[in-house]
Amino acid sequence: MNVHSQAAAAQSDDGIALGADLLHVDNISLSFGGVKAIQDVSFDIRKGEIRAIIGPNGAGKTSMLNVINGFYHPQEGIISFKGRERRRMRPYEAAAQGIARTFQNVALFTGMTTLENIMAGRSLKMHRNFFWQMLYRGPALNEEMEHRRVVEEIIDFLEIEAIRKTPVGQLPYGLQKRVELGRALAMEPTLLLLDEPMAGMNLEEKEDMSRYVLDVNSQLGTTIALIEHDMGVVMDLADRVMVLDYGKKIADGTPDEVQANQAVIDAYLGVPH
Amino acid sequence: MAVAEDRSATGLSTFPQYLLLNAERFGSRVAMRHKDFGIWQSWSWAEQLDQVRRFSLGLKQMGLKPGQKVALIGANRPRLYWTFCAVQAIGGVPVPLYSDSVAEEMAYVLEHAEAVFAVCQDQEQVDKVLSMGEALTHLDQIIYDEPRGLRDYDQDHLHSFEQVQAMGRKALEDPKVGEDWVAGIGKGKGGDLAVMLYTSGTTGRPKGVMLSYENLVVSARNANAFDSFDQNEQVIAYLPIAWVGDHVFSYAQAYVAGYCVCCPESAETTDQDRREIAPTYFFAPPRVFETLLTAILVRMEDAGRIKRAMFNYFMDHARRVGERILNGERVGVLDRLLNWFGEILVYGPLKNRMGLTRMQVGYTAGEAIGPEIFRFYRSLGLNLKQLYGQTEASVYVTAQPDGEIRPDTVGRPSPDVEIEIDKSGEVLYRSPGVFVGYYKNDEATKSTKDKNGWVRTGDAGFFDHEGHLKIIDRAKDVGKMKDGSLFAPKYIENKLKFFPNIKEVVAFGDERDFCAVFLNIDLTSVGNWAERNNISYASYQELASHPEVYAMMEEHVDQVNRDLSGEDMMAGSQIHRFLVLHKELDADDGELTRTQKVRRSFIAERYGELIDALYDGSEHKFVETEVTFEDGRKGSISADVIIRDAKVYPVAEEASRQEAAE
Repeated sequence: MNVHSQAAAAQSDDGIALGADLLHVDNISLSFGGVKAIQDVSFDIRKGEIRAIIGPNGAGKTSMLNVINGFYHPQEGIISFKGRERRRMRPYEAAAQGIARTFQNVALFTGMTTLENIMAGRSLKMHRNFFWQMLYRGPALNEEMEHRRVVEEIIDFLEIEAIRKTPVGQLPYGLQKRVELGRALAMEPTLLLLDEPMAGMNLEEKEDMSRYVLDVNSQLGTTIALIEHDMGVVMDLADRVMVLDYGKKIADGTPDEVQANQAVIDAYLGVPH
Repeated sequence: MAVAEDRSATGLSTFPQYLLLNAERFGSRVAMRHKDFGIWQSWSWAEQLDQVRRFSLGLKQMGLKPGQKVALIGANRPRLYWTFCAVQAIGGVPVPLYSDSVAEEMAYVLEHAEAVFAVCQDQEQVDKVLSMGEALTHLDQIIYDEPRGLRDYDQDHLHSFEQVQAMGRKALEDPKVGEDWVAGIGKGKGGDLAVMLYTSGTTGRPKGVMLSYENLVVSARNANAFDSFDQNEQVIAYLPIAWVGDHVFSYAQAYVAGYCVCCPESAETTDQDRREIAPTYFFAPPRVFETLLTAILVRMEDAGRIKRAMFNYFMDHARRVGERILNGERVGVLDRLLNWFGEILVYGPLKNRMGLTRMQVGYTAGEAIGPEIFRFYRSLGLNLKQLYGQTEASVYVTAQPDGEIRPDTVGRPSPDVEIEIDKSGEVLYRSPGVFVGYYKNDEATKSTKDKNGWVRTGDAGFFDHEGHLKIIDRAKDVGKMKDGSLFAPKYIENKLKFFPNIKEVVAFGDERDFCAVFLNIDLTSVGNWAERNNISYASYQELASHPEVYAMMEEHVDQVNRDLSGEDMMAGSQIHRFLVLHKELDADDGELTRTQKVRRSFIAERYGELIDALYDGSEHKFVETEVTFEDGRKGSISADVIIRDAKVYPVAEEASRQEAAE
């Protein structure tokens, strides 16, 4: 099936072996005026893993994701993705390199249908110019059909056939989250950043979403970095967990190691100072 | 030409034989459709033959022997339908299972049927089968349709559908294999076991109903002739494959007539997919028709003024003449003209929305359908009919012929079916479709089917003046009143429950002098009515005991009594007295089951005082009832419940005879 070929493609396109470093973050610091959002944090994401970033509110988790996909530019430190170092990068460059993301607050085009939203995720892969697309003939039509096939595979993968033609604004929150994941997948990313994919969901929706995250990882071979508050979810899904607190890294390791770490327990439960 | 085809068709006795014939006579016609990746994929009969042949030979390579059972688990998918025929072609017996049943139920059926192979739709079903592990002593191999999520499984006993087909294709390189396969199909006989369908049954373990090719082929042939189905039909297969209805509509009848079966993309998209396919023949339980209608009425509420006015006007018109036009009765020119306009403006678009534009014949069965709902569809010009069937009969026992449609009967005996009603009122039938027996359960077979082939339905019913069968209740629930007349509580309750103002009814009358009922008002509907009529109320209890509400209920009861008086068998159970309960029957209080069915004996005990009051002639009764609130606290409510007498009518026939005498 095509899902498999996608997985194979994801593994071979950049020549990085499974388990090798895909993304490297060295001594990053980010501040807004006097606020130090991230202070001297280093970590890595290995190809094929699910990497969780956790921490209390305001710990700098979303800032870290924004740094990775080029939305924020850290004052210090180096990021290397697929072995290439970079200091400044714009979000669209990140997207072109294979980094896709979803947002903490759903950011879809609410007036457009599920299909159109996911199709929008393909725009970077479309090569025909505006005029061809206006004509909607010949190469542009073929291209559209090609992309539609990929989008349909994603719709099938996420089991959202029933809402294919529904404007996303009419959908319940849990489904909107799924559509957003679909749009990110449409980019066929190497690295997928999920910002609280389960926030505001009920138990059943969380279970569904967890399954999709695992499936994306195992079937499509996509490397995933996720921020999540639900500890149960994180401990079940993640291969490795990094814990931030007040912009500093306080722990990094397997879920079991992190759970047993005293600094983490203190950060979450609070300690008398 | 058509005659020649028919003759060649009637000589056949098994579905694989029909497959070969259809590939020849309808080779390029579409046999199967499935929406996948947003596009309708289709397979012609010739392609279907190819798919079935490869899978069938693959199964043979894997060691499937004639007489062995193969379980089918999953939703309506082309590959599962092909599995039926592929298994049958090499003499095996397919056993479809309900895909939503839990692992333990599945284990029982798999083990009882001695299934050696299981063909599963996806990972979910494979997981269920694997989770039973050692409990399945016969199961040897599992084959799956959708590979998603199964890549990392231990593949020793697990094969994809493609892998099995590839084995078949390889075997086909030897031309003799293909010839032998066709020759083997030719040897199939009508008396052979075709399929085993497990009936869920309300009590005890499911029973495996064995149906022979003859049962299914003759039933399918009769049913196709009854409604003149041919190769041009399109149906949408969306009901469980383990259910006899789907097996007959989407497999047996399709193979015999050569028509096209369409599988929806997923269960949730069925409504949209039906719209795209526009089936010519559509079966649905009453629930589906109800939901469709409700969805439309809700949308109409939100529609603009002009649309709403148009809808109301033309629906009124349809109610007056639509059904008469459909029945071919005489209707005035003006009315016909209006109906034609209505078709363009309202009925046509409505049918399109529901995906019923091309529907020639629709059936509903399984339970009673509300007469209003039934009439709504018929008045749109949709030929919706009712049938009565059972797994043990290969579906058809009775069906309504065109032009003889009543909302409250299930029609005349189907072709070749004989029906008898025994002394207790139970319906018995005998037909070519009558099952061979229950698998490994002679005792149950004997108690259901006698040596002359008569089968007990377990349902009580009677024939009306026109020779239509009416089903009134489960035979075991039917009682007798003191004067010896039949008392069927559910029949009376259903009649009352069809009024939207009445939510629940409990009828009493077994071993009593007359029939009396408890009524529960429907708060939404009655509340709405109260609002419109400026009737103020503070609580459910107050509304329930309001004199105007009582007057309304009296009207409903009166209507039901008038109906009952027209039916010889049921006239004796007219409602003499009724009361409106001061509280809603509630599952939290144990009065209803969790599936919202009335628990008769419990209510009889709990409200014993009120029942006594119904029968001792008192006009009101003070009662105190304990209630459980949603948070688990208990309280009690007390009320002075009013009891009313209802008007009882003489039996209609007697009345008309009296009139004639005067």
